[in-house]
Amino acid sequence: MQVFVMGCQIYSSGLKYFKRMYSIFDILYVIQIIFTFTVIRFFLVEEATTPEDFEFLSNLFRKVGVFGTMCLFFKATYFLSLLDNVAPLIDIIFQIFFDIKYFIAVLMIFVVMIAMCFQLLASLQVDFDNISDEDLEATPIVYYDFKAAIWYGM
Amino acid sequence: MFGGATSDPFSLGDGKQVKILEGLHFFSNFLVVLHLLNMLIAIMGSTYGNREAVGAQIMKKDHLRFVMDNWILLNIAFLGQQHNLEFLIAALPLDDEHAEDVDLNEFYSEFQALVKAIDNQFGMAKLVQNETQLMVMDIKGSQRSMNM
Repeated sequence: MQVFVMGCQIYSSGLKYFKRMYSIFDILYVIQIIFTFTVIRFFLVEEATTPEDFEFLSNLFRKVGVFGTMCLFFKATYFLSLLDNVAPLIDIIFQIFFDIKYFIAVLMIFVVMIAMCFQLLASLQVDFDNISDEDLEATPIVYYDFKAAIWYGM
Repeated sequence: MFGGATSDPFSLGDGKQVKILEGLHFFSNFLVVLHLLNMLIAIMGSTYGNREAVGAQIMKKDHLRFVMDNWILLNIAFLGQQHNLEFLIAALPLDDEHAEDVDLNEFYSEFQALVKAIDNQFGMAKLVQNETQLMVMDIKGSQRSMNM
């Protein structure tokens, strides 16, 4: 039914359909449903799969399900925007994401800068501060790893 | 700070890097948490204020977009009872970013074409909402002032 409605909408609005944010959610949700159905119907048959395959496929389609669920609930905001009191709020939420895109770019530059500085100083500590293994085990230098050092910049 | 970032490892071993690490820690806190976070809140507040001021228009835009998205369901919605319609709201799509560059003459001619199309489809001559009439009057007034 969803695919039929999508087809009709594409027929009536043409390529403009793909430029709308909510269309993307629709498409992703339909892809998730088709993927999940295919996995369950054709691959996730207990007799035909080993426990490892079962775990892998369950892992896969549940993670895809996470995206599908997000799309479904994001689409709910489309219908919520028909309520007079909610419509401006929904609009503002998405508009804020649009407005802060340059700010986020600048923020990321600073965060990476600070993370790299912490990582460099951590390497100095590890190499020249005579830290014992017991101390390192008790209080690990978390910013020695770049991914962990990112948290020091946020 | 996010992620449970702690300053405990700064003084490990000989602690030669303590001062520079604490300085960097303070600088990152000041820059990101104090300065940038407040700037982010200010940007969000500005966006909120701007959009809240045009909340009524946003509502109408969302409603009209919903109608346009589901235009294919027109016959199902009215079940062939179009002649019982009392009001019909029509709108022309306008890009928010280029709202200042709108050519009023072109807009008015598009509007007239839309009215004709509505007349042809629904067979009614006076099918224009009050607000739209006011808008048309404003446009006419603007055109007159432009011509003078």
